[in-house]
Amino acid sequence: MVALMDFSSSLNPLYVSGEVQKQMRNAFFSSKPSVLVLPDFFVPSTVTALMKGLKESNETVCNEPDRLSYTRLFSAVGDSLFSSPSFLDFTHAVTGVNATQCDLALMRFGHRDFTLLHDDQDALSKLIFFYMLARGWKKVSGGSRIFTYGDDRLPLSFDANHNSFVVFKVPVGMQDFVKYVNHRAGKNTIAYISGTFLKD
Amino acid sequence: MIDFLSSWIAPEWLAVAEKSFFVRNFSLAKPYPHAFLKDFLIEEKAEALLAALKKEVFVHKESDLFSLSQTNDLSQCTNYFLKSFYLFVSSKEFAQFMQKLTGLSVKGGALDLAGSLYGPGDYLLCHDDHVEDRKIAYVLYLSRGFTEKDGAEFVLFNSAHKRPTTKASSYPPAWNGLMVFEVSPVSFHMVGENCSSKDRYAIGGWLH
Repeated sequence: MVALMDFSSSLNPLYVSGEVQKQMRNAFFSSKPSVLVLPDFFVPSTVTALMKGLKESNETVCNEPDRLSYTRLFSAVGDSLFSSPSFLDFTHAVTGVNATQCDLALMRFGHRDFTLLHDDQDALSKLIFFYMLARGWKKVSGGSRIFTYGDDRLPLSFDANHNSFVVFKVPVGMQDFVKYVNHRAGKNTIAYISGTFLKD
Repeated sequence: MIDFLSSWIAPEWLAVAEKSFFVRNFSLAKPYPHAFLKDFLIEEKAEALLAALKKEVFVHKESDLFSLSQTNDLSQCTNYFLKSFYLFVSSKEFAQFMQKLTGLSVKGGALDLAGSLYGPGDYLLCHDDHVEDRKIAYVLYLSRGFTEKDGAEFVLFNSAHKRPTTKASSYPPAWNGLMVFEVSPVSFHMVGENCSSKDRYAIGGWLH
């Protein structure tokens, strides 16, 4: 059994400084579309505990051949970190968005897993985040999260980097998919902890 | 009709096309009408087709649904042998032959034809092919040595409420084998990932 963790003490000390948070906020607002990618997001002990927690979590295999294939995870450890008021405060500090809660999903992707774009995907602008646990992952294995307008405009691709956090204001009309994970992944997997920020 | 076709198609398949049981088997095949015709072309023609195809330019394409390489539509190709093959599959005689095999009415000359190449790690996820007036999909496999372990197989899906559910059957891409199926809103299929280090060549398209 893994103990629940506190977000503030789990965050890489580099990202705690007020000055650094100001720089991150400036970077978020100056990029088009607004996005921040923060590597080495949590301290190593939290990463280890998270990986253990996800390993012990309950899971459900989700498979709809023309839409998706992955394993849904249910872990209180992930919830405790990303539902906490201190996480929402951090998000407010770096994005300016004053969210009151976060709609969370924990998913694991291994060989043959994917998600596809589909017609009923939410096409509204929204602030989302995703955190990745992907030790030893190679880009050539797939599993990248790709945001696209579905036309000739350039897509935005986020490779699966271990202990990396992305917060992204998804523009109107942009949809996303997780690229098919091929056999080069072997037995390696990616855990995505994803969320959409909600306001009252 | 037979003379023209017999310069391309293996004699046993020309004979089968005259038998009514084949069209019955095609129509009743589960999960939707399909057939796999082993050793479809005359062996020398299949060899020459592969050699010609390998000289074409393949462009790699990726989306959420696929990762594969394709030629342009071969109606525009300049290679003499590929042009001959195009004339063969676009002929009225071939349309009549396919009609006999499948019981489906198709128009001679109304088709798409392109080469495909699935390199290591390439795939085409589940979809139905149901676009415009496509009636029959056809793929001729032109690679040797693919085993079950190698993947790159053609997979047919069961469906319920017009959505794919589970895998129904699969066919390894056997050399010179022709997969034919009726295109419909439930003709869900995929090409499994090529898990080998070999290239999987094929040529195919749709009859309208």
